This record gives sequence, structure tokens and C-alpha cells, in this order.
Amino acid sequence: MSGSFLKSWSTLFSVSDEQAMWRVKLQDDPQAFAQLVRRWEGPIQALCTRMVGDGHRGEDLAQETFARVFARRKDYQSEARFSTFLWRVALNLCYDELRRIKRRRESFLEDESAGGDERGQVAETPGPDLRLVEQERAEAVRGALLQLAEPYRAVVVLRHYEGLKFREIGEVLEIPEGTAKSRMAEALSQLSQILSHTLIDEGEVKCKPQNRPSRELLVI
Amino acid sequence: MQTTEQTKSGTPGDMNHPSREEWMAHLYNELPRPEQARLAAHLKQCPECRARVAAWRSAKFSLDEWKLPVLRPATTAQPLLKWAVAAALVFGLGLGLSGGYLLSVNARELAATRHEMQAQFQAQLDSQREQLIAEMAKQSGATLAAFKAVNAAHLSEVDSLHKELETMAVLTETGLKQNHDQIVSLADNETPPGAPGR
Repeated sequence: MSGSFLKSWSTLFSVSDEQAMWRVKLQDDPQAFAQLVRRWEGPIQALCTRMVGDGHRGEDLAQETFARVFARRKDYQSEARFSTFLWRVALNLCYDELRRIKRRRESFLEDESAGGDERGQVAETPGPDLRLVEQERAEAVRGALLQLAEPYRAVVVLRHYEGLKFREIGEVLEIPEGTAKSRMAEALSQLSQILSHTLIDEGEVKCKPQNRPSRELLVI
Repeated sequence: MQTTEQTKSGTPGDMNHPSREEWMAHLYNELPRPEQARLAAHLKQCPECRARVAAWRSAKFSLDEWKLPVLRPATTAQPLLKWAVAAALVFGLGLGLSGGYLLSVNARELAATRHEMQAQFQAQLDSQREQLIAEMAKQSGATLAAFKAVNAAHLSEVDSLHKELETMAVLTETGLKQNHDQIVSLADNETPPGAPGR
């Protein structure tokens, strides 16, 4: 209780994201921009990491996102929420990166079929920060997410990991709220199938997601 | 991979099944409480929906298996600064309340000093104004005297001219009279011979 009180009390003295971005836009205020970076670098880095499946690349993309936001500060509209603007910039950079990865992968496969070297695919290299105990299951989830088409993956990352409401996801992706929900349902259906196959293939029958629903249903 | 974007997931012919959009809102607690209860009740009595929701819920929980390391926390300098500002405000408020009496005394003294200085300044200003008026009056008197002197000089000059003119007029008249008498006497002395009575 005291924590929430302190938090709410401290917010009295903080500048909103929109106010800070307005200062950046009109005055090139470096302190306001640094404040925005401090607030959002964690969520943006997590988003980029989930989207491209790699922590280092996610970190680079987060930095690139803020650089892009500063470069495009004059395009920021005062009536728009800063978070929506920021998510869009980050997602577009992720899409660009995924296209580059895909091109590299196709090029690599062509080289491999022609007798090239046998380096692993960069996007599917396990992240270095995953804990060893959960690494296999985390890797299975990461791989499953990467198999989703980008529109579905974006909805999953924004809703499940970043905690945006479906309405907010609709604003970021510029789609109806119902479409965001239907994409989420489709994404979960595909993930369920992928993960069941993956975990069975790996002999992880005990960890198979379908083994847990009976307990979860009681929660409803 | 085949991907479709259906808007409804109810079994064809059975419109009582909630749509999959509703189920997603239910899974992520975005429905109002009555709606949540309605879907939960449906789930208890519908094996078909229960199986589908179980698969979605399982996948949803599986997503939590992929944890990212805790990212670099935000610097604590800003909250500390905020609390320093808050503490300063609270301290200033307390100081204002406790030192209110002293501040009021100081305010009264300040007001008295201000009134005193104002009076002194006003008196000085009045004195300077009177001096200025007197000086202007003195200067005006001198100017008037000068005008009067010049005027008097002009009047005396006119008077003397008038006298000279009168004198000349008298002299002229006298001269004319003398000339007339001489002419008359000359005329008497030069009477022609044979004139009667002489």
C-alpha cells in the first residue's frame, strides 16, 4: 500500500510522455528525450527481442528505435499517444530486420545447397541470457513464436508480453480491435499446435501444454 | 502455415457459442464482470468450447516460459531528485507555517518604512516644485520689467518727437505769418503814381 502511495505521489512530479515528446519536438530538449529513453528502453528492448528472437539484436533495434524517434520528432502529432508512436516505430524496424534475416537465410540456404559452410542461422541462435534450467522450454517457445507470421507475432508480443489492451493494439497496428482479438486467437491456436509437436518431438511429454488445461479450467 | 482471420468461432448452426474474440477478451480479463461470468458459465456446460479454450490457455501459459533477463533498470537519480523536490516543498511549507508571525512582523516594519520614505520623498518633491515655480515667477517679472522699460523708452521717444513736431509747426506758422506781413507791407510801399488818395 505504501508502495502504491509513494508511486502515485511521485507521479505528481513527473512529466507525461506526451509532454516530454512535445519538448523534444519543439525545443530539441535532450533531458526530456533522455527521460523518455529511461522510461521506455526496457519495454522496447523486450518487444524487439521477442519479435526478432535475439537479445543482442533486440538491444540494437531498441537503440535504433530511439534514434529513429528523435530523427522523426517533427512528425510526432500532439493528439497521438507517445506510446503508440513509439510502438509503431519499433515494430516497423523489427519488420525491416526480419526481412533482412529472411533474405540472409535464403542466401545462406542457397550457399549451403551449393556446398557452402555450415554456420547456424543467426535468428535462431539461442539468446545468451536465458537461464540454463529453462533454456530448452524457453527455446521451444521462442522458436514457436518465430514461426508465426509477423502480424500474429506482433499481436502476441504486444498483448501477452507488453500488456497492451486489444484496443491499444488496434491503434498501434491500425486495425480494428476485433481483428486484434481474432489474430490473437489464431496465434494461440497455431502456438498450441507447434508447441505440442515440438515438445513431443523433444520427448518433453511432461511439459506438454495439453497436460495442464484440466487444472487451469478450474480457475475460470 | 495456413492462417485465417475469422471473426466468429462459434460452431455453425449454434450461435450460442461465444466468439473467439470474446474468448480472447475473457482470457486476458478485458471483459466486464458480468460478461466474464457469462463466459465462465458457458465453459462449464460446453465441452467443445472447454477444449478449445484449454488449448488457447495452454499456449498462453507456455508463452511465459520464455523469460527475458531483467533489463537495465531506470536510473534512480530522477526519483531521488523528485523526492528531494518534494522534501523541499514540505520543508518550505513547514517553514512558512512556523515562521508566519515573524514574516508578518517584518511585513509591518516594511510597510512603515515604506510609508516614511514615501512621505519624505513627497515633501522633497513639493519643495523642489515650489522653488521651480518661484524661479519661473522671478524670471517672468524680470521679463515684464524689461518689456515695460522698452515700452517707456518708446513712449518718451514718441513724446519728444511729438513736441519737436509741434515746435516745427509753430515755427513754420510764425514764419509764414511774417512772410505774409512782409508781403503786405511791400505791397503798401510800392503803390503806383496817380493812384487816388495818395
